[in-house]
Amino acid sequence: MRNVEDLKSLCAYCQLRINPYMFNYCLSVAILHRPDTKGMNIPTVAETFPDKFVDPKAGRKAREVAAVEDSGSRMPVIIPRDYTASQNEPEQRVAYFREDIGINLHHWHWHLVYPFESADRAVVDKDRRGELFYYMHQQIIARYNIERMCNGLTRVTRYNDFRQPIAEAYFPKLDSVVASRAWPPRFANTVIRDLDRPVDRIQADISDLETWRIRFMEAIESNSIVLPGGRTMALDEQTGIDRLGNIMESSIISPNRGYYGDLHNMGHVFISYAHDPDNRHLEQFGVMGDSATAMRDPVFYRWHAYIDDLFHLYKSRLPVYGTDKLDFPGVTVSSVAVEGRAGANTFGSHWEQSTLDLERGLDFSPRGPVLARFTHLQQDPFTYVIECNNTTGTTTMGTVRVFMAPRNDEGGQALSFEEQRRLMIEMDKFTWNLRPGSNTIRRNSADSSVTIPYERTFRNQVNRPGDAGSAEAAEFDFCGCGWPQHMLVPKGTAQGYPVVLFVMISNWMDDRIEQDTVGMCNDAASYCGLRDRKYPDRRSMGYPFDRVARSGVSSLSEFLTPNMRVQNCTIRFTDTTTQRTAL
Amino acid sequence: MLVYPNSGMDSNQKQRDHFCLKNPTEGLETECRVSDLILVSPFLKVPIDFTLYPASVGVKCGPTIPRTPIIIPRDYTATDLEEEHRLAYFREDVGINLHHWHWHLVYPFGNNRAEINIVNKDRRGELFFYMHQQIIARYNCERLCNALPRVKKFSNWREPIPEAYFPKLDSLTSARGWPPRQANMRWQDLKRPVDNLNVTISDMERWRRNIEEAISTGIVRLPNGSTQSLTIDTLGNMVESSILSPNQELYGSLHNNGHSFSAYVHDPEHRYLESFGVIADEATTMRDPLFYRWHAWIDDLFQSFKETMERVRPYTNSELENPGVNVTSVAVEPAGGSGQTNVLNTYWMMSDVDLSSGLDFSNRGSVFARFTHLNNRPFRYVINVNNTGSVRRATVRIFMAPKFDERNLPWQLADQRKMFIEMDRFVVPLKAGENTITRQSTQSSVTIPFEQTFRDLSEQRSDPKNPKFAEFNFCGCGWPQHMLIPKGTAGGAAYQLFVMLSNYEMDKVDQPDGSELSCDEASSFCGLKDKLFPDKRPMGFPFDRPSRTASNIEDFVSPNSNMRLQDITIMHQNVTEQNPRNPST
Repeated sequence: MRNVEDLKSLCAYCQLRINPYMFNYCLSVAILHRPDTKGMNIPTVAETFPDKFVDPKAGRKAREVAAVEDSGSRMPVIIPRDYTASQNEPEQRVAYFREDIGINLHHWHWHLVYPFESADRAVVDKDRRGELFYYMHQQIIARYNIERMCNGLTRVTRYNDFRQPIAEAYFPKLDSVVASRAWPPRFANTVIRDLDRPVDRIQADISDLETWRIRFMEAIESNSIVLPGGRTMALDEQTGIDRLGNIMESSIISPNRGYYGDLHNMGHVFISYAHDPDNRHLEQFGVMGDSATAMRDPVFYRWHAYIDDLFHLYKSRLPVYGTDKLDFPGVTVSSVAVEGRAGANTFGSHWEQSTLDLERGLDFSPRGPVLARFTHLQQDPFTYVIECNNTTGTTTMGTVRVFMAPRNDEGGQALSFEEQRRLMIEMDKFTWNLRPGSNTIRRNSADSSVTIPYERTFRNQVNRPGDAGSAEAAEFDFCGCGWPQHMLVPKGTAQGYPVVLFVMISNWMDDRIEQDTVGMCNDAASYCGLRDRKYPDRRSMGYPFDRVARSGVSSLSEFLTPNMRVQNCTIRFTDTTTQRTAL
Repeated sequence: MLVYPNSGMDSNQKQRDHFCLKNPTEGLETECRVSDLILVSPFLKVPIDFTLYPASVGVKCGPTIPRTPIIIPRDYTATDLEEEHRLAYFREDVGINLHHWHWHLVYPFGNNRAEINIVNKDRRGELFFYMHQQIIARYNCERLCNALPRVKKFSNWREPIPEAYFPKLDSLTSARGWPPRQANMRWQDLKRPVDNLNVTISDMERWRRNIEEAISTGIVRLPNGSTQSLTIDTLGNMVESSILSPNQELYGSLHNNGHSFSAYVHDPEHRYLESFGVIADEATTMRDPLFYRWHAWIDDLFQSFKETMERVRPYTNSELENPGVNVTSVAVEPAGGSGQTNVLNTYWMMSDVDLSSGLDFSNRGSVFARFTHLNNRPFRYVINVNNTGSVRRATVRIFMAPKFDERNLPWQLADQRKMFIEMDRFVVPLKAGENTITRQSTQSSVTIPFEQTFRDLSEQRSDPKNPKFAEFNFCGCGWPQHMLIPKGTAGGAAYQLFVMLSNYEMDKVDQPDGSELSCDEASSFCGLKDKLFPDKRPMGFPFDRPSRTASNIEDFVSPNSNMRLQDITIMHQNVTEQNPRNPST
């Protein structure tokens, strides 16, 4: 299409003719990547397709409300917190995380921003996208594991034996608008089977997964990959993880898709078709087959825990960070504290009830707002207070890196460094101008480089400011991607869950990327990068916890150099529900 | 969306999705191949069914735009890879499911003694046996037409169930889809306090032993310690069970609980807050292949009672014969136009039904769904009878069964008797001498007409207190006319038509005086409203019991001049015709 007018004509033509998911997906990818639509917003998927995010009972009720009541007198439809399983199912304890609308929206947007395929290679070939695939999902698993530990569950079991039954059942209880059928459930103890679905052009054997996995591990062990034609290419310390990420996912920039296959994607496909592998029952895929719904399913985490383990195998063979790679001579962090309503060094969490407008998801009828009210985790706002001393004698720039991890394992024993580093979740990363002498850094939780604000996660396109292409509208670009602010801090426990807060100030001269970032939506760069720019941190993603520790270090305190500091904190969960006013 | 599933597709195809919206140099006509996009999506391969979304499109398009019916494809729940799917046209027939639903509305099993007046209808336990026996016989006839063996009874309750079923129906009340059942699931002990269900497979096995004990001894034990002898009517109430069961503590509720066990295999402890599968709802249960396996076992239990010759004695000559009545010929002729004698014809028909009353919150005129179902060409029976006695009446009983079993061998009567499906039963006057009896297929005592099966339920739904309400429900009971004849085969399925003129003196029932008869078209399966069952013989007579002497049907018929066999052929023509009643578009 030559211009936006052509695009609009095409949309008008296609909207009534093609499957609405396909339409929405194509349109979203186009708007995100065309140069002439940079000022436009993509529709928020939770509002356009509420069927992917909320209990269909709410949708049904919403239709009723919209048809029967005047818009003035409409009450929100209430979505209960536990609607997919009862508390007899231990996995249900972390349903608030798996089924959080904001988390699923983040994951969906991430895959929109980083598609693994496109006719235009540049759309896929973004800076360090393979590494970001590794890191963003590694962080999801770390965050999920902490939530599990807060809820008396063990860390998630890897799905590494493709011939064994999957113990976890999942009944999504979502309707699919397009197929006008419910998303198929997966019953307990389902085994994946060889796929032969000519209609979807999917033919693959479980042994293919096993072959790809062995080749992936061979690449790690030999520290080199096989290219088409049989030549080999060594993996280097800087780009190896990026190449392996593309091989694993796989994306079209995988160096050799024919040889290394499509392990991560096909794992999703195998699991999502376990109930009908040969299409004899004309069933569509389960929630694991769609990036907007996959994170609802407990098996998502089992699969990604295994994928993460394979990346970890590679990372564990890289050179360790010596103190020269960690320390920032002349900069000392002297104290770290957290201030907030919950008290000193305490994070407070509770339930919050919010309202989402389902209007866009109701087909073909102009009906005004139809509100659904759902309950999600929320935390009290807090501030990091970091005291540091600059003895270099000159003003210098530092990168402040904030992580959090549990202090103890499931049995109450202190975690070793090796275990704890894999549970480190990134909380924030920002640069700071350090004057000579002592400095006090105050940083609000709302400014986290991991998250986007609540309003952005659930933004209403109707309220978008300005015209397409204007400065205000540009802020909407690219901004659906980002961990939801309300899920920044794990749930904690009523007694107070013990965590350790880790702060490091690294030398910005070693971290910096020279680029212009003016006008970009850059507040969730840690997990989402920057649009059309390089990833804004030269270090390996996850630094300094992405590698095993230097010799002699077995605990976090032994790991610390003077530019690092830890602070024991607790997360206290209060089982009350506060109301959030409608947007 | 569709991020993962795309990865298995050929990349040219896939590049086109992005291409079509992104490539700035190509025009719409050349590169945006909408049909290709549709092919790409696994979603659109799935046909629509009775659901809100597609229907609401029709409604919301407004009254000014002519509405074309929404077409419901015949094969939407599975493919031919699944051999059980060959029977989907029968299992998923809307008319058959409506019949079954209405039957259970008319004959509820009751929850407490206060409902006894509604439950305690004449011979309702026996009719429970017989109506379901005929369903199994009809299903087995259809299976043989489709080169499948008779259904295997579900007898070992600890075995996996190989038959899967994905109903692809939405539930209007729960706003959730009906849960499917995957292959090789097993019954599990039920512990669902929310449904008041707390029952184990061991309980089922205990009740089964107690019922088998009652059958083999012929003695029913009552709660007060006394005993009574077992009849088929009592056995029907015991097995189902209804509140008429003589001892629910001892004999339990095998049939009903079997449905529950089957419906909750996916969530026996309510761990996933799941609702029951289709097999637990009378309006949907006949869709599921497991329904027939379960009822084949139930039927086997009833048949084991019928086969206890000490207590249910085989019929004597005097019960079977009708002296002086000689059936000299039987033929089947097409009701109109040309056609071969003794050949029945089936074909596909597309009919429109109005879905608008099934759509919530809308009152915007009719929305038609067009679905395809089996149908048969109307025909008539022509029966010549020589009456050497005086003027009298006789009951004409017409049955038919496949001539050969699934191995293409002639049947033993012990097996074939269970395959005979009732086609009609009516009383005729016989004058002395030659009589020619002509009877139209549409007059069958088994069926109700198409219009009655698909009448508009909303007419009566508005006022349940309306005295006509019960009558309305009753009139919906009846096998659908379009399913009267098994499908047959393209080459012609060999069937045997059996006609018997029984002694009316032994058949007649003195009805109490009272209201006019209404909806008496389908009394064979549904009885008569507020009356006695209109035939005094055991239901299924003369095939409900084994024969003491005959080992095949020919030996059974030949000694009795009031019976006759006729070989017929059921031809299936694989064409689809429009129902002439469809509203013109």
